[in-house]
Amino acid sequence: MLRVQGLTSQFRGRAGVVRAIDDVSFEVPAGEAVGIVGETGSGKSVTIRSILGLLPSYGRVVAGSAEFEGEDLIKLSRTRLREIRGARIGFVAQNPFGALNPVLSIEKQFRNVMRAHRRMSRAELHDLAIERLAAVQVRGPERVLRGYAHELSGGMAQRVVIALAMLHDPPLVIADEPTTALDVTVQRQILDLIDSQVKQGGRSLLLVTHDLGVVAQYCHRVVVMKSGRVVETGLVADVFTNPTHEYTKQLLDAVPPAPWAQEAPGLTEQAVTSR
Amino acid sequence: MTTARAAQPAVKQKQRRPMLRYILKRIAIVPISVFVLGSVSFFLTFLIPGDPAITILGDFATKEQIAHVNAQLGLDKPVLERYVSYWTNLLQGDLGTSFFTNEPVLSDLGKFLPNTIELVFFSLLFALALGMTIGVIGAYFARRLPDRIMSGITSVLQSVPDFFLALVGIYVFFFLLGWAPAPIGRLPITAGSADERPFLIFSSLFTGDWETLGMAVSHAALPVLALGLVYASYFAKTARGSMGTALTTPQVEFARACGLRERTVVYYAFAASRTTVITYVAILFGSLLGGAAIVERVFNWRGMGQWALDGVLKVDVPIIQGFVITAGLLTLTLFLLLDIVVLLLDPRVSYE
Amino acid sequence: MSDAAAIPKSPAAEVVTKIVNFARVSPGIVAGVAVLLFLLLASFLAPLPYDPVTPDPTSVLQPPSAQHIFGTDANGFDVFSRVVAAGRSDLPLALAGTLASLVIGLLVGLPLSVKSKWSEGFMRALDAFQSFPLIVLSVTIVSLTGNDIQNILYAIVIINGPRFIRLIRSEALAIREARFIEAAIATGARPRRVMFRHIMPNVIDVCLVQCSLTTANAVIVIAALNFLGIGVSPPTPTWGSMVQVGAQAISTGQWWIAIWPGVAIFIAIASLNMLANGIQRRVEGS
Repeated sequence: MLRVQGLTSQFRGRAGVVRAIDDVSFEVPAGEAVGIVGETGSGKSVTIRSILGLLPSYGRVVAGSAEFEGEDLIKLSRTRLREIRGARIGFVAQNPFGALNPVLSIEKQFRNVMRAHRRMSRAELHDLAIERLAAVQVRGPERVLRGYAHELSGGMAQRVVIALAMLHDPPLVIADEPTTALDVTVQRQILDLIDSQVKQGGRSLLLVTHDLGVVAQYCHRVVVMKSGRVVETGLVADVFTNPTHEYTKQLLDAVPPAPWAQEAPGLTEQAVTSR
Repeated sequence: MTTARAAQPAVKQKQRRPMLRYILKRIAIVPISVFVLGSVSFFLTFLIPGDPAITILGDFATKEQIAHVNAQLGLDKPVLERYVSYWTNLLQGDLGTSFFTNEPVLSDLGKFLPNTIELVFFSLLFALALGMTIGVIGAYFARRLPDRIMSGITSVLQSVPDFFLALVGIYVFFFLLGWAPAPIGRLPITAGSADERPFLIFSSLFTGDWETLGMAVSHAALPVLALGLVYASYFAKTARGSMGTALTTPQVEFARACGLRERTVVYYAFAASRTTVITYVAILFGSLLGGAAIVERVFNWRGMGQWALDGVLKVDVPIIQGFVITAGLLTLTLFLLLDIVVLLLDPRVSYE
Repeated sequence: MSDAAAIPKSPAAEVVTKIVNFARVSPGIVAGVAVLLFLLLASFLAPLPYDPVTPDPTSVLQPPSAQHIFGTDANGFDVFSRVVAAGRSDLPLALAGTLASLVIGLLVGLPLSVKSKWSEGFMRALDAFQSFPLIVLSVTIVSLTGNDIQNILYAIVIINGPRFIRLIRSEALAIREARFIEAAIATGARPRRVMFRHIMPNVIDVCLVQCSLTTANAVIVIAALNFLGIGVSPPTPTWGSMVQVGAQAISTGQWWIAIWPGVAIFIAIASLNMLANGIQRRVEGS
């Protein structure tokens, strides 16, 4: 589905050029969920932004490739890349209040995302938006559509973001720490929602997080990053039970034994199906 | 009907229309501001050192002149009485008459204010268009070559005094190239005075008087250019800053990640920063009412700033007071409008 | 700079090395300061070809030539000598006005950073005051109180004092939230001590940026007032009054009288803006 190879990105700052990620390689097989873990500043975000062509104007991918559906995203023209973003790759942002436009109504934002890739009448779109909002368990979708982002709770806003990301039924979903900005109480609901949405559509998921517990619970494979490099990658079961890199061991030791770690799907395959 | 019952629907009404309530509340403050403004302008005269009449008229004034000015200022009466009669006149729209020309201040304002409003309007329009372009280009290509060029242009424009730019403009476009008319006012001498035609450009535009419009526009070009270029730097800086921030927000990133067209993405960033820019328009409009004075003088534009400046330099108290009140009122109105516009544009602003 | 460490150097050379290194990181600051110092030193120390306050009636309105490199004005003054000498009054006045604004900003802004109804009210009043065309208000006050050069100081303070108050207050408010202030209060420091010992030093950074911007603004205000004939005592040269003299001749093509002092104003303001940008970058960078 997505194959990243030797991805290297640089930022130009006042103090010269800084290499943010270096020779990052991993793979997201079709229908699987892959987690990228690492501490703040380890290059997780830069990696997905390099893939999506979302680096700030002073950042640049200098080497490597990201093959998706037979095309190298890195080499694609801006126009072609835009056509893929949103339509073929959905993106769930970290903070829904940051992601949603505060001065446009939610309906207007659905309309904009729809128009970016497909023509649809207002009435049709309205019905579709209601349907999609209902699918992500948004209460009172009619009212939400008319309203603005600041009127929503964090959990509801993130559901709207998920609905927007899935509007075009993308085969790959990239989620950038989708719960960090939310209350602890809704974090699991949102992760479960993403999980079920991805599974229902038979999609692939690339989940960025700093929480090993989340990876253990929702992902098949894991990519461990540190200082812009991939230090370990493989099946969650292998990496967690038998870490080869010193840093991965430290990370695993640092995680308090979570109650759900035992029923983690990556460790025991039944747990995934029984959920 | 009990009081409790009467109060209940009223409360509900308030809750249902927070916007209207806010606007009414905002308007309710206006009289207080006007009172402060009027009082400030009244007490300005106390700043004149020594014998005001002599300061105003100079050492060679005749007894009659001094008596006239004293009577006008009402210096022979106690302060409180003067204050009350000042307010009585003011509320009747009487701003007094000039010491030197004996013209009623109000009719002077009617002549000069429209000129200034036209100048400021077109200058700001030009500054806004140019400054936003510079700022948005810089923000879009942050830290790359176009950004450096744009910020270079901004710092150059920021470093030129407007009156100096006006003089350079006169030298180049009037003296050397002969493209612009002489800096002698709003119309060529042969076309007569523009004093009797307020809002020269607007009125000739709407009445279809193309000949006058052409002359008026060519006379307005240099002053508008001088003010517009200098003030464009303010818009460029604001736009570069707020658009620069807006373009790196997660909101814009998410918009891009959803595959929105760059045009829409830039519009998103603009929508997020437009209230800042609009606030700036209001602030600059207020400061240009007087700030354009020197440029008005260079071009003999016969605007309010130039008129006030002449009044100030001659210590023509009624003119100074009239200007302070007019500029203050305009600024108050402008900021009231600004608050309402921002409120309508941004659903987040709380009404409290 | 690996070889610099290897060879032992004289103290003077070390200073030079330091300046060069500093210039590499912050070219704006060094260039800005250098140009300003040059203007200031030149105005006091440079040997002038002619006396800036004695006109030569035999050479009036001369275009730039070998004798008068910037030409002469309608009174027969040598434009070059006057442009250089004008720095004597313009620049120190601008700096003094800035200093006064800074002091007022600190004295008013710091106490205002204590949240209270009173301070909120004061800020509202300041809003109203600042929304007024301040240049005209300052012209009014200067001319009403007498046409004195010191009164220009008041004008600068009226325009820039509120900006300092606002800036210092908001910075101090932010710093108050910081941990180390909490620590200082917890260890029993008195409010006044907290204000001047702990908050003030941390506000100075931002004030430096504002100071160079204010000085630039002051140069414009001084030039504008002088252009209007306020605070000018002929024949003492000032850039603004020289531009005014030149303004009368520019329509007839004698460009040099107004342009050269204008260029001097431009250079002074541009270098101050450069300095402000440079400091801003350093403050943000650290």
